[in-house]
Amino acid sequence: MEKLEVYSLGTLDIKLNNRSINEFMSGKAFALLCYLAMNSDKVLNRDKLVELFWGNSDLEAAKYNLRYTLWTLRRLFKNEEAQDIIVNVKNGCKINDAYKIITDVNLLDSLLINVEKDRKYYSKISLEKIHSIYKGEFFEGFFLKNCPEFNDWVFYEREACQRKYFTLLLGFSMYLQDNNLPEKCIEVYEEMIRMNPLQEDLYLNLIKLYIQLGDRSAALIHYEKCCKVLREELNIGPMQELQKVYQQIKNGSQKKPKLSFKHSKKPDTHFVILDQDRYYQYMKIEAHKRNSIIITSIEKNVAEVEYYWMVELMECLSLKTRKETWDNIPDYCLKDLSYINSNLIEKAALYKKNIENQQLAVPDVRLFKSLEKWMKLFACHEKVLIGIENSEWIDHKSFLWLQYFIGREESYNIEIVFKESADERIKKLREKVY
Amino acid sequence: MSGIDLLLYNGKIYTMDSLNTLVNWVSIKDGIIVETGCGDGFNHYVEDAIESIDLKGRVVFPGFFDNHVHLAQTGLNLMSLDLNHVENLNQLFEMISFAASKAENGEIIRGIGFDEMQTTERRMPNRRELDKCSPNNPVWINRVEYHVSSVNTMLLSMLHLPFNLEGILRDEKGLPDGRLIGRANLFVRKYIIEKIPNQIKKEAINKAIEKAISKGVTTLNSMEGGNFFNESGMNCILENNSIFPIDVKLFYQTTDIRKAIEKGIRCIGGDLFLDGSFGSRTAALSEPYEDEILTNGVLYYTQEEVDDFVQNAHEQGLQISLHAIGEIAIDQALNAYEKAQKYYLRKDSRHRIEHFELATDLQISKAKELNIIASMQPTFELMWGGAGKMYEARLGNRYKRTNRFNKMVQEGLCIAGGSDSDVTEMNPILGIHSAVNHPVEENRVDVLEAIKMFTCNGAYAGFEEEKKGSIQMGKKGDFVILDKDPFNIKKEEIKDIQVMGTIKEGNILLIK
Repeated sequence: MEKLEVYSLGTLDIKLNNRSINEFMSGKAFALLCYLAMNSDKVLNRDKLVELFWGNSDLEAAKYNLRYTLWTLRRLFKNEEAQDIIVNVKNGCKINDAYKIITDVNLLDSLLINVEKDRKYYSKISLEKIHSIYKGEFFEGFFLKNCPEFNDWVFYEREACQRKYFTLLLGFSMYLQDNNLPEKCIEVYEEMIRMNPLQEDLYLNLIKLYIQLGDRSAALIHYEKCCKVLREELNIGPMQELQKVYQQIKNGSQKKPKLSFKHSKKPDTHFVILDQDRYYQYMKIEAHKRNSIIITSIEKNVAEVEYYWMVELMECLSLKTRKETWDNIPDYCLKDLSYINSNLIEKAALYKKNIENQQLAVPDVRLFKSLEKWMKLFACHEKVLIGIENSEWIDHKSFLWLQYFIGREESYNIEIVFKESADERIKKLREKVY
Repeated sequence: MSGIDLLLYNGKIYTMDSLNTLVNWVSIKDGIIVETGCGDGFNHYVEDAIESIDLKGRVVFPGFFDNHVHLAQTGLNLMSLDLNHVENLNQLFEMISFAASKAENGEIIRGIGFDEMQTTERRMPNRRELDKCSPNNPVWINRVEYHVSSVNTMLLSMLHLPFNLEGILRDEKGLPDGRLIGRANLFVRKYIIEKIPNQIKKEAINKAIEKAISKGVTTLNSMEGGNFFNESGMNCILENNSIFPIDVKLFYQTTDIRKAIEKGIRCIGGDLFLDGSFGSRTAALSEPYEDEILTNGVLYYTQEEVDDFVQNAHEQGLQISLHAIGEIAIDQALNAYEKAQKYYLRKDSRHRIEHFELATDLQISKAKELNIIASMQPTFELMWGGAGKMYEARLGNRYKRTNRFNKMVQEGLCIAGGSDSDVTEMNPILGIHSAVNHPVEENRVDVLEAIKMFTCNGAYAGFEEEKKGSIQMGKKGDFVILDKDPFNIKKEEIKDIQVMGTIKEGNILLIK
């Protein structure tokens, strides 16, 4: 079987049977072959390819160009005495199945799939291994003039790969920490910080790791480095928690800081309670997988205000609800809810829904059902993650709703994550649910 | 009498000494003033003077100071596409197309001063629009206050933006749409400024200096480095400082004292932002903003952080300056200076507060007590002061309490005048005009006090009162020649006075 390898992360390289063939291709031919190889399981419509690579030229010329470029690729493979690389199908073409296709993007994908399937798979990998796949940005430094569609595709893939890489590193760091391998874990953190030096929470974990290792001076150096980056790049000071840890180091406090994440099993249900550090880690990882995240954080002084949290939730929801969902929410639900949140009338009006303000008191059961309906419709289109901070200050009525909502059997694509607090109510809730 | 290098005669020379003595001629040798006098006492110099200028009754002052400039930024702007008066997006696109057609392939097109609120469409352009007018050149369009920018696809693909960076605005497909705010905006800014070749930066700085000379400036204080103004411009000034035709004194905008000392810079802080500005509602006020009652502005540092920094820098013998506009930020600065002084007594530290716009009575007298220099920009009043302008919009009635020059002069505070270029143009005449014509009458000062801000006060602020700031024997031969006498002109016309000549240490840099 012939072998075609396509490397697009960091350095660009195409290898036919272990031999680089880049130098024989134009930029466009190269990009086209990469695109075909990355989609080797599909038949690609010619019109689509024309649009992708010659979208800005006249249609006839564009079609000619596609034929011409495909021909140059064929000829190249023929000259290399390899099998025909491209198979023509009606209106489309694809990579010949006789080729074994290896792409670094696929390798990255399968790595991620393996570790998500079984966390133990991390024991088989190393930072070097991840780096040998993700050497840099997708199509780094590559830009085709007058190819808006292709460049957009590159942007999309570039971010997607960055995201996968980051998720992989984050998961890896948690694994290393759980398995008490702080030195290795530090390397992974450093790499994540290198990607984006403005991630304070990563610095915090890094510093804690150094303290765990008893390396006070390294912890201090990283604290200073973090402060400097934040000051120089953003003109801000470090967050309070980081300052606290700094004070501890300075005062030579012997107490080892609590590590960010103790091992906790990935929850099966849609309702989780996590301690503070673990909560932020979790939200961060999940943020890459879900398309809608709602975080509610309330203050102490509203704990007595009934429905306050529900109204907060609605405010977040209304910002994220799509037009088609608005169309589907029954008017009576919105009317009922407007009893506790008159803002809704304005929000709904933006989507051409005219709701009268509900003047009369609405029984809780109707409010509860209406909000449930909205959540349910919302979750038809999105995987939703709701983070709840300061749960101890959720008012009584809203907590009843939460209890009601979590108690319903369907889980609607929604996951609710509580940041651990002293609140007795969530502990009871947990006992009830499990 | 042995020969002299330069003789200025037949002039009206205001010496700005303690009595502001008027003389008619001055002679200079080796860059230093040899003698001044009245009438025809200069006659014996005429034959031996290498160069002499008959002033024909024109007016001369000591060379002007501009005490607050961002030189690298000013220079870069002079070399960028000025989009200040664009009225609609089509006009913007035409201007970019034109610039792109003249640029070499791959050269970055930098647009500045774009104010989308002044355009019909009231929005920033997106990358697809910019692609159309510049397919072969990266494009970077800055909003007027630099907080938002738009880039084209070519530039975006060069940037290596981390996916989780805050401030990347996206289109309906979830892809970056070319508009960058917040952290992403700072990211692109840093990337581009670092990309500009040193030679171009040097050229830009030289252009800015030429501009300063054309306005009679012979000494300027340049605020450089830090999170916004970037290190590379400052390094370029450091490398070339010895060859600039006028004096450029650097203020390093950092809290990293060790680094400043290593670089040999003795002035630290510069425009170090304790708070923001009125325009963006980030200056830290004691009472909320008039047009946004939920905010009092921003403090970028805690008092402890400021104290710590000021104390260390003070102890190291550095001159410190801090940017403080609102009362709360001014308090922060004054408190820190006071504590540092108590902790480690320095007789004559002359620390500065930049802008000092909304200082209260108490703060003014405390600043005097601590011997603080108020480094201020009178032209702000011309732009934003008075009824119906920005100060009033943001501050309501408090606009009557901005830039209280008269009160400060009465209290004996030293005000060093500046332009904050590129915020207002480097132009001391305009600054003098603005201080004399402050829109709030009780804050106005007389012409003499206004000129002091840009001459002798500047010298004092820089510990150079023995060498500069007035026309006296033994001081440097720095002069500005004007076409009209600001003391004998309607005060509304001061701004029209032209600079006819600039002389630095006896060298004629400009003469008309």
